Amino acid sequence: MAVIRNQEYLNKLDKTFKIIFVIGVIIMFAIAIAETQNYKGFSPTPSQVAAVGYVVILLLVIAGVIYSQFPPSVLGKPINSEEAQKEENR
Amino acid sequence: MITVTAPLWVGIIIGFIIGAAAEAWGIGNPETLIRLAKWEDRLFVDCILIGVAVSTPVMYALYAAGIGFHWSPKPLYIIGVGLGGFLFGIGLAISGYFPGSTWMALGEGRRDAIYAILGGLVGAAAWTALFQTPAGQWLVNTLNFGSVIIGAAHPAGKEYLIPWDGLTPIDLFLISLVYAAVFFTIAYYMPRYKGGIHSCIRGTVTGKLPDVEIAKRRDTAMFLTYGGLPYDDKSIAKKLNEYYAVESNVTRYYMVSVGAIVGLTVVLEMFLHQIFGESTTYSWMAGALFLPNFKYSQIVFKGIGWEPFSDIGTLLGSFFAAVFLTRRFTAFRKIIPPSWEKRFGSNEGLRALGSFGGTAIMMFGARMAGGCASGHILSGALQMAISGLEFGVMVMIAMIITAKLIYRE
Repeated sequence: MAVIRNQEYLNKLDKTFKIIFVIGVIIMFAIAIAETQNYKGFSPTPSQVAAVGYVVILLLVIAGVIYSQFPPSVLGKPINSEEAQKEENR
Repeated sequence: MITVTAPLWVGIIIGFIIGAAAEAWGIGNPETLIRLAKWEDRLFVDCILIGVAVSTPVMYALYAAGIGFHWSPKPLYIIGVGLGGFLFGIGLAISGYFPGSTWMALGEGRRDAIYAILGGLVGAAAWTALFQTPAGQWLVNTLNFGSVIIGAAHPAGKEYLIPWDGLTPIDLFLISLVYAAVFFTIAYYMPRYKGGIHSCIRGTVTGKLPDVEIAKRRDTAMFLTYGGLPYDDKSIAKKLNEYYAVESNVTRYYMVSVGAIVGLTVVLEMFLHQIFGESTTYSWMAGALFLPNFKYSQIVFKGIGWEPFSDIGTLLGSFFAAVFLTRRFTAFRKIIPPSWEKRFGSNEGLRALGSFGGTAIMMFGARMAGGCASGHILSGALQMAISGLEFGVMVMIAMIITAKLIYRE
């Protein structure tokens, strides 16, 4: 995915993902509580775990798509263009 | 005796705390563990030593005061635990992963972690297949002394210990103080970096580091943040990643406290439900997906607790830390650990093979030994389990030898 250099747009994307993350975590906990609160067994069932895990995987995919548009950085600063070029050529 | 059993979803919170704290220390980055295997950066050892030194006396003091814990020291079957630990160390040196760190790495958006997780499933499945054979049974039954800790034995499934003759819970607490003092002394004096003079604790307390250690910390910060997200100079990410850089940086105290936070969280977990373990989930997944009728899968299905949820929590905690705190989320870009790249080049296929194969060996060893860095080394050492100490020593020996042979430095 193409890297975007517009800082304002990147900030918007960053904030958008953080909001999505918080909503996703709330949904995930709601599902986890609903699935296990009254469950008496010691060991979880695959469906209980999958219901929670899907939300986290979805969040990871969304994060991957959004943050792959950010310039890769080191110590918080974009990696210089020569190194970035080297990365792309690998 | 006061005992509690929390619902399964609470495991997500426990895993979240541990995942977020460990991510800040960089445990989710395979380069951190490869450097540990090369004995260049002993950060992880420091983390475990501090965690055990703080948490073991706390837990035994609470136990002496009448609080029941869900003890689970792993059985001490000398050959299986020793050989498993040795394989674990070999795989860790190659891949740069232990079971929990695969989830942390996935939370940091590391592509490398995907290969590692697949390798982990293969390693766990291999042990599931071997377990019911005569060889597998020999490994877990020969010289098996049961669940033994220093000063007591643990009856399976019970929330109390049976102290050795004449000992009381108060005596166990006193033993734990001596035990913790040994761990703390090593943590206090063992330099974090090869060629350095300060341990994590002493470096934090003095606040001033020699140039050589500042250079090493800067190098660490560079590989931890490489390929991550941008952050500005006033951000929390700057303070967490570059805490060596500013003498008045208060986050350096947080960074040295991480081991204690992790250890105390494990004590809380043992009070609420069970020990902290992360490799059983792999056997559980391998069993559910591929080998449901195997004897070992049946044992895992019955015995596993909230590990799948605490593993999801570990992933989520690391994910949260990488996006909100440290900004080390790498968006699944191609990133090769520098030590690997220096030795084998930047071919991603080769690194994928190393990540997959190394984690498969590591996981096979973990399941053979009945636990991993979390169940044996952290939770085991915290309970003063003898099996955990044996496993830890074998891992150290194997990873150092393997790293010397593989990375040739």
